[in-house]
Amino acid sequence: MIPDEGPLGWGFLAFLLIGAAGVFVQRGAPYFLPRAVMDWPVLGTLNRLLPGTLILLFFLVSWVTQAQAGVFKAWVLGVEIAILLVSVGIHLLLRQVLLTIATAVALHYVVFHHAVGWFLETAFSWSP
Amino acid sequence: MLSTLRPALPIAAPVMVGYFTVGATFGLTATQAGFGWLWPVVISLIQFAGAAQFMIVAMVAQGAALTEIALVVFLLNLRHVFYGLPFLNNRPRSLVGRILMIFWLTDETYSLLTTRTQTDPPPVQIAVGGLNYFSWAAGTLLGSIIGQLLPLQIDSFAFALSALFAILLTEQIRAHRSVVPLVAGGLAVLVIVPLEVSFGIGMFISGLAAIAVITLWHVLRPTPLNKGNSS
Repeated sequence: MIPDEGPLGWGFLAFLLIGAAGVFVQRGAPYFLPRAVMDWPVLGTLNRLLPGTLILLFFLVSWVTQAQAGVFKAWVLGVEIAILLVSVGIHLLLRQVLLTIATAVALHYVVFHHAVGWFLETAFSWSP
Repeated sequence: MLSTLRPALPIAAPVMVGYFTVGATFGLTATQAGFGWLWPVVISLIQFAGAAQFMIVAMVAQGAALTEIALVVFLLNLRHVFYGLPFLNNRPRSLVGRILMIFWLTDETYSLLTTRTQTDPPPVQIAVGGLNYFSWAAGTLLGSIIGQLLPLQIDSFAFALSALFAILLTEQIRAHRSVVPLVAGGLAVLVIVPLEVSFGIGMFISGLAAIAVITLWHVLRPTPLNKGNSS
């Protein structure tokens, strides 16, 4: 819970606005780069291959940093990867993204809230 | 307006559902941490930065100083510096369009737009980002109201985002028929293994490493991928 002398107020609103400006600069960084960068031959390859790599890194980096923080639970990771693999299989079979997501959430709920509900607090320690 | 939203809606729909549920989870989490119902919505509208929002709530609840929170959020979002790259050759013409495109360019919108087999025109890309933005805000509002009224917690909603990432990764590999992302990601993450880093710093460092690996692959093993246009 927020401490009694918590920061919520006009100062917090200013903090959010400044933070949003920071995020904006980070997201827009490539737009401010010189034109020569756009003609860089490697950019085409990066455009194709970097997105998939970064998506994979969302998972890998979160696992590594969670392990370094000592909150990594191998069996939780194993179960969640199994659920994701089942979900990907359903997606490849039916090509229905929404159904796949709903299935993944339902499976996760059944497994962690009923099958292993006693370990609920660790269930999301690795997710990006 | 409608002519732009019509093609954007089916593209954005998967992320909209994920954002609505995770946004609702954020609203629930924030209200349970004592933020009331309004602050979570304000945070979602101003920040629109998924994981960073959860971090803000957690750190405020733990009594962290705003400067500490700002630093962590900055590090957490460092990975975003790469996100504009695929859109450089297809940027919106108007200043407002560019501002909206940048503001709405989140992890999921980036992944979604870069997974498309054809390059969508900038107005459609902006509309996709906008739909995702309003889904996130609407989910946050609903979650905040529910969090105020009912003391419930359904953490499994947050897993929707992981499922979405798994689907997008699968589609990226299918679309480009290349295992280079898997190899580059596997090699890049090794760089941070000996380091004690946060998630944001880890993403930034390994992102740079991934760029290095892909560049090296491009130089050492020229393929037809290098000959086409860069869209």
